[in-house]
Amino acid sequence: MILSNWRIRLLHITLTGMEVVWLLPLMITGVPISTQPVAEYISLLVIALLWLLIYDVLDSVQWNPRIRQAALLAGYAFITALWLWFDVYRPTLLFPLVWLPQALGEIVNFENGITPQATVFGISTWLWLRAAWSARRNLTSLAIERGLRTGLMLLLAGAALVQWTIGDTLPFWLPALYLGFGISALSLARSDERHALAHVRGGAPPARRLVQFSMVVMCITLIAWLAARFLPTPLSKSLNWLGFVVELFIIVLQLSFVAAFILGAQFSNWLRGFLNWGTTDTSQVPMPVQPNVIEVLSAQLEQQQESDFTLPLWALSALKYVPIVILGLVVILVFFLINRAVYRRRLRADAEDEGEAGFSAGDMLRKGINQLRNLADMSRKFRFGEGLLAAISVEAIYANVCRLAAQLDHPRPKAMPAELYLPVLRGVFTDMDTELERITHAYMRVHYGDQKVRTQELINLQRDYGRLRRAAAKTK
Amino acid sequence: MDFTQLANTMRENISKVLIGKDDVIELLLVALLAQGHVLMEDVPGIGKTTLAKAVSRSLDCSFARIQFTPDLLPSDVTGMNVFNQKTQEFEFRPGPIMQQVILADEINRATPRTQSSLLEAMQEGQVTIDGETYSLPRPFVVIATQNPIELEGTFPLPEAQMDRFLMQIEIGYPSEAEEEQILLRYQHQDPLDKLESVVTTADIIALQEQVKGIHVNDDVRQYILKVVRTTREHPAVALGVSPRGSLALFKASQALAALRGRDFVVPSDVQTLSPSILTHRVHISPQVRLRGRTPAEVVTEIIDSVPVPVVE
Repeated sequence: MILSNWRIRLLHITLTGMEVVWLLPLMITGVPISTQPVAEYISLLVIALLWLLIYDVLDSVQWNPRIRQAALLAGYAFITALWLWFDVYRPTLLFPLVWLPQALGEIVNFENGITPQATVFGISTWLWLRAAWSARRNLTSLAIERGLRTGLMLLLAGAALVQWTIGDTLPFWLPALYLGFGISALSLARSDERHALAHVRGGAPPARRLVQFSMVVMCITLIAWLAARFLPTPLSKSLNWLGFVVELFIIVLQLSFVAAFILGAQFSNWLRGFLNWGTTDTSQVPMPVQPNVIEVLSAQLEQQQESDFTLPLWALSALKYVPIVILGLVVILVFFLINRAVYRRRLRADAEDEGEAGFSAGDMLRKGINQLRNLADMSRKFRFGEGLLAAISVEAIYANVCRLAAQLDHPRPKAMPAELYLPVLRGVFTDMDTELERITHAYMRVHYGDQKVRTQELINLQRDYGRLRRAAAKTK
Repeated sequence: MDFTQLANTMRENISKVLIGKDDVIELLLVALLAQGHVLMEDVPGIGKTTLAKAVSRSLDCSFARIQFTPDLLPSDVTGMNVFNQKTQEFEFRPGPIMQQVILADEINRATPRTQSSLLEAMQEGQVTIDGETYSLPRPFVVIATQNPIELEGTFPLPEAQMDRFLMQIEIGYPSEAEEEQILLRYQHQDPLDKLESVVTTADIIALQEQVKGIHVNDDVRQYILKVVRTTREHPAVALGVSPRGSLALFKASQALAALRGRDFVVPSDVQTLSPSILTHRVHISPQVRLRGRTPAEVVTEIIDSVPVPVVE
């Protein structure tokens, strides 16, 4: 990623610069006491790039996977905590971390809407996951172009969110920055593809090409800024047609957040009560505190002092942190398990052959077109008539045999030919060697040899398939 | 004689001399039927010369062995015109290349100029000396050998020349049981001396023509192209297989299908031959080579990744 050849490095940097633009509206609305948008954007960019660098370093040192996971979790906790302090609790001293328990409590406090702590926590998590997925990311020009289009929609959604929540508009330089980075990323991806096709990868480009590239990016960014600076009225008028889209986004956002708040408030009420027992004296933290918590704690301390057996004060104080620590560990464990499950699923998906692309409308359409094409090919080879029908039947029989074997946990790997799959089928359908050989060889003659199958042979094959199906039913 | 008879007869005959290498014999027969040439890269004493001689004797073909050395001249390979003082005329003295089965031993020891003279003849099927063209006999097969362990003072074949060999074969060491058989069989005499021809030249030429008629349908053809094109797009590969390589794989698949008693090619034929036909044509990048990966591993990875055309 970052520690790679110049083209890939620049591609990741520009892609990061483009994608963190989407997060700035969330920061502006979610963290009202934060600094200037420019500083916020820079901090987002720095953290995102830092995560990419962390992953690059960990990939290069080849640690034991468990140590690597532990290091990542520790890094995530450290960066999130530091960022929380910097954005929300900066008036307070960083150490001795008295602000931390309250921060953790506020993350799940939905009664006051999405808190600044929850915003920072969510964005930090997203930046971490983004870096984790970056190594396996598709960086083709098509994928980036898709991301660019999606990002424009997200930017509109962000504009709607800012307008709805704080009644302000996004800074003018934000779309220009987005387009500048986005077009740079697209150009770099395209350049990388062209170099890969020409078998020249990773080499330094000629200076002329670098200059050309820089000039294009600067021109586009300059034009966008100039237009926003000197032509705001005509620009606004021409962009007015987007107004209804923004309104639509506001309505959708309102409905989504109301639903989330209703559900979240119920949970946070319970959790807040549980966490309040563990909170320490938060009078030093510049956020409203629940006075009854201090009274309860004081009463408890007095009670303890009066009793015969008293725990030392330091032990009592330490005990209050235990539920928070346990909760923190549970949250980290959940993230870890989710991450591992996603990673394993991705490994399984990578190990599976191409072609099982899922069941989206596009995949179904593609499969349908392929089947029609196959049918057209077979019609050309076998002509319309009994020969064609027999050929289709033989292919269907073989496909069904493979399907039965797949249902019995022995699918055919996509790169395995029928001849080499035969021993596997023999292992799945015991005592069916003759039937399996007949079906496989008939299929090979029809599919690869374009040879016709006689009627009697087809009848035998159908009987063989019937026996296999019954055998499979018994095995299940 | 049909293909199955040829395969069984040749295998049986050559096995008298080379024990336990049925797969190597099959590959050689494929090269013979596909009218290609073979490069054998293996350690000394493994039976390369014995195999070449056994093939030539089984086919009733003329045989010549050219030992390539650094001082070998192109004319030593192709032949030259020599002045006959009696007749006062130049006479053409053909070189060893004018035989039907050529064993080019340690081809990497000769200079590139001498290598080119052989390789050009392999490609063109003829030699031109002093403006006169002489056709090479049919069938014509060159079995070249290289020693992979002694590389000092050698002239490795460049990529363009490696491409002219249909396939690269490794014989490999025999198993313990096979080596014991070798000791027993060679105890009293050399079985090669008693080897007789079992196939005529005319049969071979006829079968070579028949191989061209082996059916390759669209799906298999697309599969061959996909495998070859994947070698050009693989990130570990600096130089992938050329169109000459895809043609070699195509023709060899036809030959293998014929030897296996089929009149059509199936994807398993392509997969069986891909390591021998593609490995020496694939050049991996230096960074990948430094990490310990070999072209054979990359080719195997490609074969395992390209989906086979099977109905779903």
